[in-house]
Amino acid sequence: MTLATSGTMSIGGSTQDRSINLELKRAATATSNMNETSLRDLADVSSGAISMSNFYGKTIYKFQAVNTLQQSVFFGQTFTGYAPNIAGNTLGSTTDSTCDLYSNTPTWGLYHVNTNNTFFYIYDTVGTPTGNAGWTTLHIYNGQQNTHGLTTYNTFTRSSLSYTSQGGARFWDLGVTAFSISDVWVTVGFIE
Amino acid sequence: MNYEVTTIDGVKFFIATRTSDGAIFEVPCILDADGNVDNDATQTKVEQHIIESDELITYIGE
Repeated sequence: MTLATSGTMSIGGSTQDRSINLELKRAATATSNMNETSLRDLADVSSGAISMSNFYGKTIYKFQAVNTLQQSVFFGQTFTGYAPNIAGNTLGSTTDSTCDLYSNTPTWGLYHVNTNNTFFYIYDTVGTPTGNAGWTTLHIYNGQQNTHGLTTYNTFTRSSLSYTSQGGARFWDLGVTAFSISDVWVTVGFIE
Repeated sequence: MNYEVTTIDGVKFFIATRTSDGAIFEVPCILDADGNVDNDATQTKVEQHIIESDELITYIGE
């Protein structure tokens, strides 16, 4: 989740929106220091003086959204997930329908057909960065409407996924069926 | 279809470009016990990925 925009901020601690460690998916009591690359990256301060206020409003995710899942039968096949347009049909909903990972903030979806692998796709091939790029890691929180927790998500690394650019879209095969309709929600967080 | 194996972010990818529509398919290579690309296994994975991609693209649209 995004760190608080004002007030007390600490490196450690167990308050979700005020603990830098928790935002970095580290244990609340982990040893961290302000000069670490990970902390500087989060604060967006590459060098020089850094203060706790630099962490206000920051998150490890460049793009995150909460999807309300839907399961429907189209073309005689069972679709599960979120997609703004499957041949004219909307599947589920999301808190952010435009993907901030790319310059032209394309529409996107995350779904699977029957029990096949789940795909993440964007409806775009020209926004920057182009090609198989734009994010390094995807965290999927099944059954959650937030990004809380150090171990409550599944991790997908882009460089280990199969990718396609085709017909005006780019999509990544997550390699597994990443959720089920019984999860009700999935929250996605993309790390740049 | 044009094929090449290239390394992206330290990972070997098998890249297939379909000349008829410009579609690009990038699949992480399957390596054998010696760390070399297992061509047969990778080819099978690529072919399956292309089939699934061709199906997926028929569903999504704007």
